[in-house]
Amino acid sequence: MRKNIAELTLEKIKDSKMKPKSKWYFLFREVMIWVLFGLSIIIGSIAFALILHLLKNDLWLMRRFLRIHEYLLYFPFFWLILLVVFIVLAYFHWQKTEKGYKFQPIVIILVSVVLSLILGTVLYSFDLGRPIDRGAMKAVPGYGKMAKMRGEHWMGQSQNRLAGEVFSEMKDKKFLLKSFSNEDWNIFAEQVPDGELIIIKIGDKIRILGEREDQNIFQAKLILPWEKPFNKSKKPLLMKENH
Amino acid sequence: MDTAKNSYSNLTDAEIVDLTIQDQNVFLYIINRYEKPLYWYIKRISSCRDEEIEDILQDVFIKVYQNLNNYKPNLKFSSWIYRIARNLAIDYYRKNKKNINSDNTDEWFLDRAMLKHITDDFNVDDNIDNKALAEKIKSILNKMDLKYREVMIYKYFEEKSYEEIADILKKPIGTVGTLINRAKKQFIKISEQEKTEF
Repeated sequence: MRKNIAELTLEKIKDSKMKPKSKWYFLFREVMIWVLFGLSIIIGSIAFALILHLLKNDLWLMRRFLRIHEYLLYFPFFWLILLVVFIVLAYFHWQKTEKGYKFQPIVIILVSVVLSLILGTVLYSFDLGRPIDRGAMKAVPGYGKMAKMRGEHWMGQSQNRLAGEVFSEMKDKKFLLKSFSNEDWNIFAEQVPDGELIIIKIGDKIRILGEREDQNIFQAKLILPWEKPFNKSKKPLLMKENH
Repeated sequence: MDTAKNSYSNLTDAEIVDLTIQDQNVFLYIINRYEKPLYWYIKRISSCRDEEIEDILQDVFIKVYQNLNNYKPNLKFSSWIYRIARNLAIDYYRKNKKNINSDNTDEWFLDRAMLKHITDDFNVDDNIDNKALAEKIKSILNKMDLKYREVMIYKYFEEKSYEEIADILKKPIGTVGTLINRAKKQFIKISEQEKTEF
């Protein structure tokens, strides 16, 4: 070797008044990586809570009434992609932790998936799906547009669906509805199973699946809230007659 | 100075790191301890010329000094310093691949023990002349993919354990095992293609 590397290096360190980086710098960096990992898991679990919410409260309940292309409209692709993206991000953040490299990628991905699913199920069980969904419609670019498309799906003329505002109390399983296209409808709810009847009040906005019988008569088979306010009920679709 | 030198030579790497944080002159002992092994390591991995290796080495030690507070004694210091050297050497190699002459005639330092390690694993006649054998091995290694060449270097020339290789590469031990197996296969394949006789 031509030069004395030891002396040259030490000289360079002294000349440039170099100091080792503070231990707080490294600690902060490590903490930040864990924070980013945690955030990825939290966002992934919110996405999973919404997947559960949309699958269970929309797609699953309406399954008998939907055609194939309508399934595509209601399937939570957006949240599924978001869940995958944040699981991948969680994986990258974990790998950057001090000992992250010791784990096989499949182990890290499985742990991230399981954590997101558990936390997402907890969020869903606290009925946070709908408020998060509504918040996301306002806050997440693109998602609001998708939600609007689903809303518009209920606006047009259809043989088997109707949406609007209740404007009479239910009596003998019948009530009146003003559709969002401003038409008056007599809703017959005899075919809605007793266990699925919910309390409806004047002014409630609802979605109805069933069959149009006549000019202004609609035979309801399933009634869903249009935008259910947050409450702790685990049966958001139960409908009971007012007496 | 000699007394100090003797007392420092009995200290572990981690202890010298602690002392260096208080007194930068002690860093000299880390450099002296690792200068030669890292020189040969960088030479084998990158096939760079001496002056390039010296520049890389200097960068390695400066980076080591700047990051001393990031060293945790639960990791072997040698693995930590090799990790830094690896990153800088590979960065240099990738940036200057076109200008690096992998067929340069510089000899590699291969002692009998290293050669024995290889001859045992690859069914090579160990009565062959050391220098000739070293040249043949070097020629094959330089034709291997970098990811395989480097694990061969860790295993046979640096004599690192799987755990140490995993810590240097920042990969799981299982992945290191797979890489070594594939590297051995590529070594044999190239030696067959080149009709290298050992």
